[in-house]
Amino acid sequence: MLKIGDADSAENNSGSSHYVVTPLSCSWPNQREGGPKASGEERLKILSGTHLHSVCGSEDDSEQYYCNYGVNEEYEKQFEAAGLRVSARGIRGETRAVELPGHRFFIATLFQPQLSSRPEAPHRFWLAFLRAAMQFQKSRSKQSTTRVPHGKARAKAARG
Amino acid sequence: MTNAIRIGIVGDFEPAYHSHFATNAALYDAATRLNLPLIVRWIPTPALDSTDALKILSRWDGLIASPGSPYKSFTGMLRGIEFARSRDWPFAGT
Repeated sequence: MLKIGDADSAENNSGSSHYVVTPLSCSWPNQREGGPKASGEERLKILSGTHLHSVCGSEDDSEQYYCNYGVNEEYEKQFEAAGLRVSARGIRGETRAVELPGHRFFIATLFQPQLSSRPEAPHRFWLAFLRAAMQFQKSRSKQSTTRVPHGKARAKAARG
Repeated sequence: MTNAIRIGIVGDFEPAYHSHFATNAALYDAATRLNLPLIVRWIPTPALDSTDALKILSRWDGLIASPGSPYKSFTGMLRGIEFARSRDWPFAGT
């Protein structure tokens, strides 16, 4: 996407000169000893006008994290130039979610909506994702049933 | 009756890893709420570092990139994400 041949994540230790994913620099409140850097809940802003915003329905949110690595902010401009849009930011402006405008559903988050989902209150993110998958399945099956079989199409073309 | 929605999770499933368990649980809970039959399967990353990748990936109505890096095959994971991105397949990376 960025046309960087050796783009890599710092955790792979490849010696690449372009680590687009690097260790999180922040220290999380309530960090557990031996646990990842980011674990537990953090407040964030979901940017209005984004797909994630239409999925989650509000700007102020708080989500569960369990991770060590995040987007290297030095590459944020390049990600945006390549078409990715930041859709959520942490309290200090850090990238917390990105999405691809124009795509039916392409959202990546640093937080894990599955960690705060509950049987009695499934997370909106997953409800929206499954709805998108259901609509996608419908559109695919319509395509395959309305497609004219090759033989028939050829016969029709020959007739006239 | 609606066909079951088929979700493929790209990642190397670890039963002891809470985030993996939680991913399955959140999907089934959401499907129950929507009254949708759901099939969830994990796709190990090395399986996508092969010529079968397109065939494997196109079986699913939605794809998820699981948490839990480093992955057994970074290339396999990138293939899954690239497939969803370039072919307009529903995708969530969490």
